Amino acid sequence: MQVRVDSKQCNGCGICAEICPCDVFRLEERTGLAEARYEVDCWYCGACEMDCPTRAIRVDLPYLLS
Amino acid sequence: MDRLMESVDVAVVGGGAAGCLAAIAAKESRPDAEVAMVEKASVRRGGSIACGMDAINVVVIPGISLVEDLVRAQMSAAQGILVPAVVRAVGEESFKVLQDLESWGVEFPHDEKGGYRTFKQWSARDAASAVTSISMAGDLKLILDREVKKRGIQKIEHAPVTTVFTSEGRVTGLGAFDIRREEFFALPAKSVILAAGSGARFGLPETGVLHGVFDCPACAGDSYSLGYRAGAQLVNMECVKHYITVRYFNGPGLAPLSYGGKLINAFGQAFLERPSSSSLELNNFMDLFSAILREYQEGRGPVYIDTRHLSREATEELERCFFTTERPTFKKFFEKRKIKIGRDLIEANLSEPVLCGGHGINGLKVNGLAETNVSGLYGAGDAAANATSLMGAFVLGRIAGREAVKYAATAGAATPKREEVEAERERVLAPLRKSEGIPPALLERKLRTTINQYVDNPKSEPKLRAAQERLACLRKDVSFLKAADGHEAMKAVEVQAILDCAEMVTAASLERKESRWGIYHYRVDYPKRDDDQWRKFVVVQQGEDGKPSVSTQPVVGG
Repeated sequence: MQVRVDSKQCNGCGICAEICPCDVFRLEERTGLAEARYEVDCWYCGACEMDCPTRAIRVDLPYLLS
Repeated sequence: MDRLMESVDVAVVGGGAAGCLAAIAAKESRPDAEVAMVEKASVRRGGSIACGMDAINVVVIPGISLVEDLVRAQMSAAQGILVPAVVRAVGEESFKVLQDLESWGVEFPHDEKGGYRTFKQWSARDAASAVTSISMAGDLKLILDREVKKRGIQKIEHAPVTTVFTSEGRVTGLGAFDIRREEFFALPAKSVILAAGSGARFGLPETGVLHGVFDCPACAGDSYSLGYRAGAQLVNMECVKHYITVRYFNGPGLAPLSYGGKLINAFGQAFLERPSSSSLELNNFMDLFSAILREYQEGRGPVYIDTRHLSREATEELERCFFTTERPTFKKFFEKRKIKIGRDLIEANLSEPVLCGGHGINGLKVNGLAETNVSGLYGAGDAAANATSLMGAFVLGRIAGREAVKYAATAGAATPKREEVEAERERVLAPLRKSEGIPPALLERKLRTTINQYVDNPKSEPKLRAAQERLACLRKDVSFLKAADGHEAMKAVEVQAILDCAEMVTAASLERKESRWGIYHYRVDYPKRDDDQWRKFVVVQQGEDGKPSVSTQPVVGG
């Protein structure tokens, strides 16, 4: 997983889904928690890590370039 | 169902540096004007500088640098093919912008006497160039977003703009797609500012990762495509840029050189001093890029950035620059590969081909007032050919905002034509209705592979003709695009923008029958630079048949 959301930390605030420049995140309908639904579109800029109030997100580099 | 929004005076496309400054300037010039920003992500983090930027590459500070020197330097770097009035306008207002940014909380370094502490980039180190740069700190996008909010500017987010509507040669509004609601809507607007960034997703990087590009992949050439489809003129589309990068991560490789790093090849030899290959005429950046390409082509790669001789201070400064701004995940790359700046060699390469008006010279042709040739349509930032990077985005944004709101004050009511709104709605929503078809990412991969293989340098007439044939096939595939959801429907529009860009670049490259700008436009069938014939713009505009129509225009002023 390139973009990981820790479901124990995530409070479902939706900030990541709000701010991601590449539209990677959505709140999962069933749990209300964040998921990296379009992970393949991540530019690993790290904005979500910076803005997540509970530090639930960890961004790694795509396997193909790390 | 269509949503028709309330009409606005100024609609700003894109919430990056240029878009924010444009909206702020429009609102400040006329506080009662309706100003809306339409952004595919959010104003808070959207655009190329989501996590900030370490420096402003171009600034003219009284007592330190002169506007005329900046104009001379940038015109020389562009080998004469740029609108001088644009560079001059950026130079003249750059200090005012710096002061505004500082008053909003962006930090710039001062010396003991209270003056600004500037530096020179690698390219400007050879004495003649007077271009000064300045370091910058602070969470730039949060600061800009706060200033936008303060002024009551309307924000329409998660809404990629798909078209600019025009009627009788003037702007009437824009069409956009609400990703989350999966709805198309029209926003009537008296003026539109295109500030939707560069064409970052043009060529494919060597890792094959679609979004593993040098510049922010949200910028898919939307600005160029939107302008083109609205009848705007674009220039220098044949100047396809490559950056020097830290290989694979595709992060900026120029910064280490500014801090004193050296380039060496696999044999440990410094190779920049070697004379250029006779077939390529080069200067500054272009020398550097061509030299890197040559080392790889002639089997002396990989190329490395050597920082082992740098002082501890320089190393620390470089680490700060790399790891805290722009993309802080750069640090993870170095950790994963166990590379330590100052201890290990850093592998470098050229990026994939990129289109950019700020770091490069291609884009919407604007004058010193940020006007395009279409009434009510303005261009700013990487959307417009300006070659003055982030400062160009700030200043051109401001100018565009001021001018657009002035234009809107006298322009009549704007009403997009109903049939045009319908047609655009069909184009945007069609992929969502398909039960089978080509996913946008698949078409994008095929298109961008084609760009690498046929559109990028080295160029020749037969190769570019082959590019046209390939692109025509891909154009037919557009009708088979299938989108599973709103996110993919956005990508379906983006891939069409990339296709527009590829067609423009191919047409412009065919027209310029000389070689110029080093590896950015190298025609093997016309290997020499020919200033007598070609010291002029190649202009691309959409023709009646929907295909690029090409002409030339002289460079005026200097």
